[in-house]
Amino acid sequence: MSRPGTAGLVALFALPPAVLALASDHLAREPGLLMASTTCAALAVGALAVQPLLAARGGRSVQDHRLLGTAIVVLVLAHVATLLALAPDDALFAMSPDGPTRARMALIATIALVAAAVLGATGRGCRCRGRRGGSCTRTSRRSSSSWGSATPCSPREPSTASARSCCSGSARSASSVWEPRSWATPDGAARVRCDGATGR
Amino acid sequence: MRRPWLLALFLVVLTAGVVGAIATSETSGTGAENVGDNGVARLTAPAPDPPAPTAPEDAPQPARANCEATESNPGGTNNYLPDAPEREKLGEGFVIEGFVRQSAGCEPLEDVPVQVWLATETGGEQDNRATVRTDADGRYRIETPPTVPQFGEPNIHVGVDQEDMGFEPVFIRRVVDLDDRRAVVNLTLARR
Repeated sequence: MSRPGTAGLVALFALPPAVLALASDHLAREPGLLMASTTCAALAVGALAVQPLLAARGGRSVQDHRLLGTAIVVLVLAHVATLLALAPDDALFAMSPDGPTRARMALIATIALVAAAVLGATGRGCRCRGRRGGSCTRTSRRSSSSWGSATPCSPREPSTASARSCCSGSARSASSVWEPRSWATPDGAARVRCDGATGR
Repeated sequence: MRRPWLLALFLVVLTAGVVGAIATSETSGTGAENVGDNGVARLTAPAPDPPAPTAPEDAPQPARANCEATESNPGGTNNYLPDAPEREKLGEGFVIEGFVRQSAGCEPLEDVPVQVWLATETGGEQDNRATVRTDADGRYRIETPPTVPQFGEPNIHVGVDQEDMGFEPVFIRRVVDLDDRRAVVNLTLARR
């Protein structure tokens, strides 16, 4: 999916909740900080709905998925920060063990979101789109002097044990063997591809 | 995945923890009862606590009943500022009232300064605060603008912070519904 396409999709999902929230009677004559906080939360919730779609599409959409995930985390943290700035007593009470159920659910959801974002940022940066016997393409970043990042799926050298382990993790069955192959894209980015075959 | 059972166990424990955390919470926060009504019913003084059920029926009743002291609840001091100005009313459309009595003997307390604060259409909790004094029956009453949701739910605060009168401070946070016209908060103060 192209960048404008992704942006349109995000707008399609994120804007209606924000408009709905801001049009609510609850926000009538409320301070601007509360409006900003609500806008952040509503946009984040709407954008969150797009994330599984972007992740499932693979390819460049995964980059969009990560970018959007970062934006969502920033929006949610901004939402919490503005609530703290607006009414610190109430915000801290809401997040305390004595807070109401709805606040506890929001707190748990925020923690889960941050955990998912951390896992997404530090986990495997690849999408396996092939079926048994197909191929799995793993993306790695290259610095000026070395291959890849420190993640298990971004081996420094395609021939290392970590690369084989990475590729074997892509195998759909115990009887399939996937071998790492490397190449460089025209723009200089390093790629490690796991070519797989069954019955070996 | 080498140990799928380990992941399954982790997910089960995590899910149980989340369910437990939500199930043990109170809808409006710890101790925050809904004290709102439509304001039509006549306000009556609270009755003394009934005698202990273990006391024999033919035993002589104590001359002075005692009442259980009101305990502050979490969030009661949210946005509290001491020494709110004495006012007869903050606006129109909503009433906060109740009786103040002391724990020993359940006797009404006169001339006790009761502080109320709440978020209304005209401002936040620190903008809408006032002190009212109880009458000879221990009753206080103040009219305010209608409440508005504060973090999702309208809530009111009532507090007595008069240590020089010899009573333990009490700070109460209670909730009401958006269409309520009155909140009734009775306080029973304990001697220090």
